[in-house]
Amino acid sequence: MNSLFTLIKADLVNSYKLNGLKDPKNRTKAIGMAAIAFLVVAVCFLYIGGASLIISDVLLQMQLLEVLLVFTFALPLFMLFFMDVYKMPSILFSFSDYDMLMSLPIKDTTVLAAKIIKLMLNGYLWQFLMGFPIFLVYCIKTPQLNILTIVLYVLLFLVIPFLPMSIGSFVGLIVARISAKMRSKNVVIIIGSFVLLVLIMGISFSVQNLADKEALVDAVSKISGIESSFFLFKMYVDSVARFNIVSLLLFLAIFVLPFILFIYLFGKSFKKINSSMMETKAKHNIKNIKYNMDSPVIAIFKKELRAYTHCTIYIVNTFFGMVMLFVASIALLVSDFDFNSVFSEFSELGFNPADFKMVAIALFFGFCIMMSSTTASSISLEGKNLWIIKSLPVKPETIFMGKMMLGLAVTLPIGIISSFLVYIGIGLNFFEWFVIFILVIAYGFLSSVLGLFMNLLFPKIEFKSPTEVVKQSASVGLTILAGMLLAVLPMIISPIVNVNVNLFILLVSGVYALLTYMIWFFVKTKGVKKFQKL
Amino acid sequence: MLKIENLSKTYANNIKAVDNISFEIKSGDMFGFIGHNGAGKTTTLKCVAGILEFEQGEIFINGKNVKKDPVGCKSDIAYIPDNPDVYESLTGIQYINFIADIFKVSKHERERLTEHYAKQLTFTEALGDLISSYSHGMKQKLVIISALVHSPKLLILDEPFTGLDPQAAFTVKEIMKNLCKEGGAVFFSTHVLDVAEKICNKVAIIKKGKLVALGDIQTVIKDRSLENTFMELAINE
Repeated sequence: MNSLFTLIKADLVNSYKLNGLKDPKNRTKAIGMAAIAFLVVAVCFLYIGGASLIISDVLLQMQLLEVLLVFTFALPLFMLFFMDVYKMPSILFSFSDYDMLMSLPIKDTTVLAAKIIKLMLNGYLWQFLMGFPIFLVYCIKTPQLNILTIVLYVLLFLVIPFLPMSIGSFVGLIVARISAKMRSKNVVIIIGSFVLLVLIMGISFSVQNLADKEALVDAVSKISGIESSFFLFKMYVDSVARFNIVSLLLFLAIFVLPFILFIYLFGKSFKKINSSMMETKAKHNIKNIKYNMDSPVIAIFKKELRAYTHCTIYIVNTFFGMVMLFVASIALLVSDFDFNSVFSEFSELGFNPADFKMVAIALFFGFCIMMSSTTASSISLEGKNLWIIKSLPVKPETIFMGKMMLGLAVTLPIGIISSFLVYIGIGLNFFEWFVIFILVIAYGFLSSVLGLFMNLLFPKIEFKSPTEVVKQSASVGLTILAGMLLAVLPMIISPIVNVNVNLFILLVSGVYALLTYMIWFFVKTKGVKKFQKL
Repeated sequence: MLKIENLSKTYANNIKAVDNISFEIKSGDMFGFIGHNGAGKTTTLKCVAGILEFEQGEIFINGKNVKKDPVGCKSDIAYIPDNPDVYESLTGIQYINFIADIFKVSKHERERLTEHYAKQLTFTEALGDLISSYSHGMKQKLVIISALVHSPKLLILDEPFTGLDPQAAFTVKEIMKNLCKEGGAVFFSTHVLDVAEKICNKVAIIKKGKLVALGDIQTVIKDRSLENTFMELAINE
């Protein structure tokens, strides 16, 4: 028991960098990070709680307050399913500290238990964040709340992570097995990440729409339908709100039994599975040996592309804007919603609907492209490999161009396809499409060169994980901030200047092209010197 | 081949890593660079390879100035670091192709040289595998093959034998000797003094950034071993 506690403690201290609080040098940073984490938790809590409060009034009127319990259960459950499939391969299989832990004089099952308990704590945290605020609203709004509801909620709160963990482990095992044989290991994780992000966006939009009472009534009728048709939801509500003992026992059996089975089976083969996964005597891929010739710029571009597709966090962070743009453009095409009527509503605010439509499209394209800068972290991501590009007989400009080509490859194809989809979906005329097309090109180049410029100014070559560079570095933050400003700027200036909107957007594209050239000039001169000093 | 004149390099914390060193490596020379950890060996090698900027002195490779014509200088050399950190997302052959593309090596030549050196280093089967699956020694072998695929005139190696198996270490020594015989030159740092004594015709011993011994190996060691000479010069004041 002592060794189990020691393992969990060491893992938590290491994962959450708790020693930072003890170290006087890092204490301020650690406290700052803790404060930010607390703020995020508070905002999340308030957002979900607030949304539940809005919904609860309508639910009360319809005598369907129990729908809140469906949300209490369903939201964290879906999140945990995804998280567990996502995290399982790295937590239970081929984990980084496997060699170290397995060489210690402790039982294999203790190592497994420590990993599972860590995952369970994670599950409880998600449940607390996503489900508890809704349950709190349910408790507040329920007239004459029975104390048994709270007791049962706590009991089921404790067992809910078991089923996602069991299924997640099983799926994770299959994914890990498949990905071990695949070259593109991250495909499953990358696609999963985008699906999750799009789902979160979709849910958050839906929650905002629920403020509209009619939409809410419609949604509630659908959700209450789900409750009665999806047996797990029904069982949960029956257990917590109606104290149905059969439902409670069935629920416990469904969530606990697979977990026991998983522990029993996986506990026996934990070492065997991990050993087989760590075998390096995989078949050599001799067929893969091909001698191709490319120009230096293309060679650098191809190297960048391969590094990009192998770094999940890099793709998820820089490609999401383009996924958002593409999904929204498809939605415009397939939805029967009359977007032109939305734009016409703005005439009441003094906007010309046709003008507003173009400016809004320009803003959305600008926003999505400017948040997709791969170059903002591409110099930093060279990290320990920086010696390679620095010792190559090519000018730094050639390296920069190769890196910028990746940025263009990410933004331009999807940007151009999306402009076509919007052209058809909203019913733009050809000239309006052409204006958007030119803007996409201008934003694409600006996004690439701006990111490179920021990365040269604020490089972060020493890092432990690419996440530090892609998510937390100054260059990425400043590129996104500057990009957002550049995307919003035309929207702000547009009502002030008295010019035809299409001409105005072309003018903006021209100004941004000039800005791109000016930044490129800086990159070619002072940027090269900064690169050489790295 | 390589001429270093009054080279000095100071790091941001005002520590003088290299302090006014000068020497010359001629065609056919096998030049061993010896010193304790932090003496300034890697810094010197990186300055020659064009990786680090330096504030004082000049470095010439085949008559070309590293500061004024960095691309021309880099075209003539290959640098092999002590820690072979390479792009883990590429396969071995993709990395070699990448280096060969940059050095504009023809398809035929890269194929011939890759097959030749991969066979010598028993690496052929691993060429198609992802670098992330390689051990330290395999990465070292890959970096050596990619360095030789563009037939450099000057080979710069930082601790080249670390992590290599005995057979590969022997092969690398033979490759280094052949390069010198064919008119090239090798400039390498090492802690393996026996090897340096056996294969080098010239050595330099660096201590706290300054050269404390330089010249033909026999002139430097006289009737002692290189190890004794090093202990005397570098460790004892």
